[in-house]
Amino acid sequence: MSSRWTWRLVALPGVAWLSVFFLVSFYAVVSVALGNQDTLSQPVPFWNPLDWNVGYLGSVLSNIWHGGQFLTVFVRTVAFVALALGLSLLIGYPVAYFAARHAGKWRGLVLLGLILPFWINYLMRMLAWINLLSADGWGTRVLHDLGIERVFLALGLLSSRGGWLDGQSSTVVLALVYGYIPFLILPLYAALDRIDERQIEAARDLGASRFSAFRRVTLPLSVPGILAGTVLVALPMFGDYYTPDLVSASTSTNMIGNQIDQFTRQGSEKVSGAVLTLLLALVLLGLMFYYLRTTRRAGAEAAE
Amino acid sequence: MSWLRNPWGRPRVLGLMTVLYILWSVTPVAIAILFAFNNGRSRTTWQGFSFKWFTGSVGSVFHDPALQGALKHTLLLAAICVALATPLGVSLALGLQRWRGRGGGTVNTLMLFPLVTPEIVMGVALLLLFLRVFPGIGLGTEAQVIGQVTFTLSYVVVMVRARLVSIGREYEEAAADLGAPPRDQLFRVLLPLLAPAIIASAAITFALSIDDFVVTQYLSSDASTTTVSMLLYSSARGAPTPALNAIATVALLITLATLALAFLVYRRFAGGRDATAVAALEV
Amino acid sequence: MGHPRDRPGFTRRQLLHRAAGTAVGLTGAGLVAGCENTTTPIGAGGGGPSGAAAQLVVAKPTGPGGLPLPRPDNAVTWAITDQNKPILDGRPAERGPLRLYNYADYVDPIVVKRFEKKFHTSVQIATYNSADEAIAKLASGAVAFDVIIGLSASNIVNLIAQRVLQPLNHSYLSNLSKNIWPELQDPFYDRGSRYTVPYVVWLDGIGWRNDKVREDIAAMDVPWDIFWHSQAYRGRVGLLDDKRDALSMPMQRIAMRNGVRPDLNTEDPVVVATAGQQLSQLSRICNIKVTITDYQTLPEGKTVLHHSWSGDLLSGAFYYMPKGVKPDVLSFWGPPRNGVVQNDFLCIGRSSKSPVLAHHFLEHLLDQKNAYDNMVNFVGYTPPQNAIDAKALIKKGLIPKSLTDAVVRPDQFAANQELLQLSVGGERLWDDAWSKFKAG
Repeated sequence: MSSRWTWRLVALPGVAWLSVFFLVSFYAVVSVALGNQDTLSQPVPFWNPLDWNVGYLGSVLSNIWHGGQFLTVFVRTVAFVALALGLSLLIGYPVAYFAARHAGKWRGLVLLGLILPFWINYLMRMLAWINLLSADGWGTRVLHDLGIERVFLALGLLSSRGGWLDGQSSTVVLALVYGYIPFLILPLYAALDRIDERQIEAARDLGASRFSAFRRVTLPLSVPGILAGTVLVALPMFGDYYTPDLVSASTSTNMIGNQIDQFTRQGSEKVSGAVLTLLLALVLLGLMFYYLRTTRRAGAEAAE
Repeated sequence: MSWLRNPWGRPRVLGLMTVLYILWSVTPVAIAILFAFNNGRSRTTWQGFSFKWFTGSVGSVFHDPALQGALKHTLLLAAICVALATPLGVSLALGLQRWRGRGGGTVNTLMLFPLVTPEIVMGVALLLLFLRVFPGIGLGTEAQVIGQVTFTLSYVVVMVRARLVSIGREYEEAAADLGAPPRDQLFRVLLPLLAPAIIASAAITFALSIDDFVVTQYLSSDASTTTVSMLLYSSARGAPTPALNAIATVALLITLATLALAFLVYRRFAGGRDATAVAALEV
Repeated sequence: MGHPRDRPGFTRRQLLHRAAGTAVGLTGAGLVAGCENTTTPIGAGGGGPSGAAAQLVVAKPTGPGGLPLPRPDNAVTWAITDQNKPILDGRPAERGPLRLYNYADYVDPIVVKRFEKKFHTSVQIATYNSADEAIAKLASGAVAFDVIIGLSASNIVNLIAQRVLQPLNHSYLSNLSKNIWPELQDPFYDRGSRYTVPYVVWLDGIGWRNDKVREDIAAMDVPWDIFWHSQAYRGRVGLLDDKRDALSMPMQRIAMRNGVRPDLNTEDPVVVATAGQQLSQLSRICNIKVTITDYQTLPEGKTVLHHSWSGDLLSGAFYYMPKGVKPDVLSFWGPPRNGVVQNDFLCIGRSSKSPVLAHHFLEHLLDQKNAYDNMVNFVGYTPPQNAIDAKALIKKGLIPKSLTDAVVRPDQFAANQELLQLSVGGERLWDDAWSKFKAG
């Protein structure tokens, strides 16, 4: 046996595992989405592509086309994700920039602070906010005392005093920011850290102002990091259902994930759930491929 | 120290932002931990310090059967997941790294996919898999283990491969020159060199498993397959007692202790520089 | 009226086999006929008259395998077959252990312990999260349970079709005729109580904090209207997170306003869609929350008005009152008639290894004292026992007067309706309306 095959054999168990439990399970989604259901409302997958039944897919697509509920939640999901992403970038970029370029001797400590949230259970971090934002919680009081509550009320982002958990879109967006921003900051940090200081110095030597050096050198060079971070954060946000459920539980803040969860895990109609899952996956597939390409390119650079 | 000369310039503002950000990201959790020690059932009003939600006789982490069951099940899943994902991931990483010829790229892409698939998509996919393709396995502990291994496997591969790249092939070749048979090259040279990465990836798998929510919830069957994360989700919507904060604190401590241990071991084996690499890889 | 013996049901496997066959045909036909019919469930309408003949009858929904769906006006007696007979009279009890399959926290451990002591046996409890999951596991045959607790009339057709139940021998169950309401001794979904005996019942009603809500809800002409006038309680109003319970609420409201009796198991698309639209109004009116945690949030005051199951108000009053808040701040109103009443039953698994012991356990839970203790010490839901009476519970100081309605009365049970299994098409209709509402 040649050594070429030895290594493939070593890889085999892992490849087999991923094939069965990742590829086949994904094919199960396709087969159920393009299948039918029996009289117990249980899904009947059609494994043979020749048998595929587009009826359920068609009714979901026509629902979206005619502005039905799936369009509503999809648009809301995109809006929430876009807002949360924008805010995350506004907060995350300066922080990553400071950590990478100006933290000096505090760098270790700052990095620890940036990494720590990763290892705290997401749901515990949400639970923490639920406690703080309840009507008599410390957070609600601080927001009131700092006048932030008043600003939110005036802007129409909060419907009543102390009502942060009463089903507010703003709370859901902020919770998404809080939940996912660590996943954005670290790739940003990595990208900014990789930039060669001499390039910026050269720009400054050539008479560029601090701001224009940033705009013309640092920012463009950090774009790959921004994109990678964006994808890393956007993907899980699109599939989120627990955040709106925990901090709002109102129908007015439900995202596409809530609909999928309702159809597949709680409800009786797994076929429609599979159709929605399939559509979401297809939309995100583009994003995924983009991300894989950037990471592979970055990986190739790192290997050089 | 240019920003000293220009105290109102960007860096100082940036520094302030960074400090505020870290405070914002850590303080709520610190307060939640504080309330795990509240001597009362409120999670919003401080009523004095107490260990009652950890060790008290009623409804505490160590005495409430539901909380205890969830903690035990969480640790059980994490242990099995590490035991399966680590060897699978290490062998896949070795195989991929030394893979010559066609197929390597495809497998590599396949391996990376679980890292970027939203958890709900994976949850639904695995749910349908166990309902429709492997009804014999069905939902429950086995399904949860399989689900967790499927998405943690890739983390192990990525970490071990990074180490493989950094140690290169010289040691192996030296061993081969000295007449060591291929088996010894693998078990007496390569694996010891990989040990730090293996330990680190095992620790990270453990932590990922403990923190996982979506896949574990989708593949659960009954109350005996409830994990700490699932308990946090189902209870946080009602009006839980600080015992919930307490169990979350225990899970957090276990996670952090595991990671700290792995970090120390890694640093001992691999030296300081690589430890930062690990920190970056944890992303 | 259909009868399983006349028209033998299919096993799940056969059903799926047949299904796959039909399915291929369906898509084939779809290609020819311009792709219509592709969301028709497999096997639906298989047994009934077709074509022109179908127009001659009013279609009655049928369930799995063509079995009839029981309705109050369509009572069903499930057959006892030669392969699946009840145990003989007067057999000695097995040694056990007794394997129980139940929702989590749905039977008082002390009552269970009492049984263990009396029969020198041990009881092992396994739990499930949803009826679907329980039935799937029972049907897989992987585990043999002796006693199954918590399934309801809406599951009975599935349970029979999957052949997972064992018929009961009433000679072991003298408490059934002695203690249980006459209304539930011979229920329409299981004539003669051949496979099931009742466990607990509850009403869908309104729970509220009478110290925070000004209106006297119980005195309103149509109490359900309160939800549409709840602007003042915005953000603190809740709806049960269950498509059947939730959608039937506006159906009751409309019917109550018009003074008619609603059909809460309707498969009329207009009625279901209207109910969904009415619920959607609540999003605007009070930004309604969709949860089932009212038993905690009402006592805590996180919600002040909630669409609730009667039993949850009682368990809230028993366990979840914060320090300094008296249970009499909780109020409950349940509809006297034309509302939702539901009923969970007890049954014995077909492959039970201790069927005699299982019968004894059923008898144990039907016992007056055990049922009472189970309610007031643990579950909060009302057992349909003649001896349970809200007035006596109030007198003993166990429950406040404001929760009188949370203890279900037999007359309420008779005048309200159970939510029952729908046909697949009906299920889809309700799912769609629910998903529309949930999209906000």
